[in-house]
Amino acid sequence: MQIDVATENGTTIVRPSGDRLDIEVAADFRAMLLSLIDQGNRHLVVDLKAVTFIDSSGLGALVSALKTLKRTTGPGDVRLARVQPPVVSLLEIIRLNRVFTSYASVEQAIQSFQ
Amino acid sequence: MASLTVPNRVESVRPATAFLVQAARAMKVPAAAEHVFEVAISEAITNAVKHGCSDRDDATITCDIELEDRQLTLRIIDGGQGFDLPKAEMPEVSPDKIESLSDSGYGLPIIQTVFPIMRVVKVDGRFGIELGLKY
Repeated sequence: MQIDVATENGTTIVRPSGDRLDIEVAADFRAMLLSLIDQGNRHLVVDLKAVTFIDSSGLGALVSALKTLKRTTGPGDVRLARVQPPVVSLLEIIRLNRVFTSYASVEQAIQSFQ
Repeated sequence: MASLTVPNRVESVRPATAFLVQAARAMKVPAAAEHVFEVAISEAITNAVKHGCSDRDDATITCDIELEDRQLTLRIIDGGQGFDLPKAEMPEVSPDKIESLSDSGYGLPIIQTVFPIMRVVKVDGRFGIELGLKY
């Protein structure tokens, strides 16, 4: 799975390119997120435009990153952008929509950190 | 009944999931049209990979699906040790308690949102899980 990373206005944008964020790729995705946090990136936007399937492993990677940020000193958050309807539905079933804020566009997610 | 046997490894989750979802859709099971149906099956096969004998090179997972009298039954047999099904409670999710948020444990509750019937079974001497729904 290819994961593109970009920085804009102090916000790090993480963009998985595959359509499935499942057990096959979740470990790499989690490692990437934790590595970015370890390097000091505390404002993360995960652009989920390409992702139409996510399972508990993929969601667990997002939760793991969020918990790591909240455990350490200073402000920081993981915010989601361009979440596709099947992923929205699963976030609602698990109620993780209560802890992850979603935005219609990457630009809006970046602005939310300003 | 349709059946598929795949090697017990992570790379088998996607093809085995696709097989069961397509079979259920071909049987015109209404729930199979919903996205969460595919997620639930993927979670069940993922559990089989995690808890079956995936450390053995020749380990396999067998997926059976059948429809009878508007009851869909899936069996995912991994040959692992027998186990007691834990209570499938959704982990607590609260924006006020992010530090104690669980990053695992969501799989079984997802399965149960789709399949009210879930039990451990033994088929030909191999343990696995049986999932069912009526419509």
